[in-house]
Amino acid sequence: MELDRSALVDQLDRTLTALADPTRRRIVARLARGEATVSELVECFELTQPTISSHLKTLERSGLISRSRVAQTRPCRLEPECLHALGAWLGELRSIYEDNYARLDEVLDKLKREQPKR
Amino acid sequence: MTSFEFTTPTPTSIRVVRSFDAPVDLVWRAHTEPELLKQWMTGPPDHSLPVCEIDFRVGGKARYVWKNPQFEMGMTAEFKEIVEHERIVYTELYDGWPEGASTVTTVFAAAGDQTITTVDIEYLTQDARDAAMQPGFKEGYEASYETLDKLLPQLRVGS
Repeated sequence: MELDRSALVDQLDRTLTALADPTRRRIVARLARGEATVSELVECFELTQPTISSHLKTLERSGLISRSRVAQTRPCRLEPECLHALGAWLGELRSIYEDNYARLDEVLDKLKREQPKR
Repeated sequence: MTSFEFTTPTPTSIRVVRSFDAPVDLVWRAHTEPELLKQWMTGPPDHSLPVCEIDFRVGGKARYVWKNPQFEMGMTAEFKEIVEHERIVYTELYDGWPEGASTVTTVFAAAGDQTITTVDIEYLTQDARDAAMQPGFKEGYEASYETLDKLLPQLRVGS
């Protein structure tokens, strides 16, 4: 909890929200294999261009993807930092649980010793 | 031998499964009595849990404050469901994050000489709730787990 929990949780919230939609998860999975343009994604998912564009906007707002400002086709690419933030937060949570439970083992041992055998 | 498992079964939830070498009544006490919780639920290294006040009934609230010399974090919980030695459901709200309520379900199960607890933390974002109402959401979930597993290898930290 040394980390700024609210900022991390904010990011986690945005990431999870973006990933809550199955099409967006498929787009992210596709971009994990490399950049793609909107028309390539339209072809890949057999969805209309406005649908794909709307999903891309949500993903872009969440920070999960970015779109090139240079090339005319504006290819989309995955920004792994978001996933790393999510991973770091989960890693921290995991170790808190592990440590808590190691202490709980000791508390339970003490309680067992105090309690008469049944 | 005890086991520990930490997984992300859906994009908005976390599951922690742990076994304990103790009967369920003791594990239950350790999860519900403030003087016992203060001994183990102290969180990150060098922190303590000086405040642990529990009004243990459905609709009752609990207040926790974790501290280290530089830092303090408070959390308020409200109990939604209590089944003795079986199940506790509460919502939790961390200070300074009013929109971020999550629901935590803890299930206690006796397994021979051991007790297994399963903690499910469900993050309720408004957008996630809205998305869950869309047709095809559940179907998409099934297909996407595998994708997510491949995509987020650092999250597959179950041991």
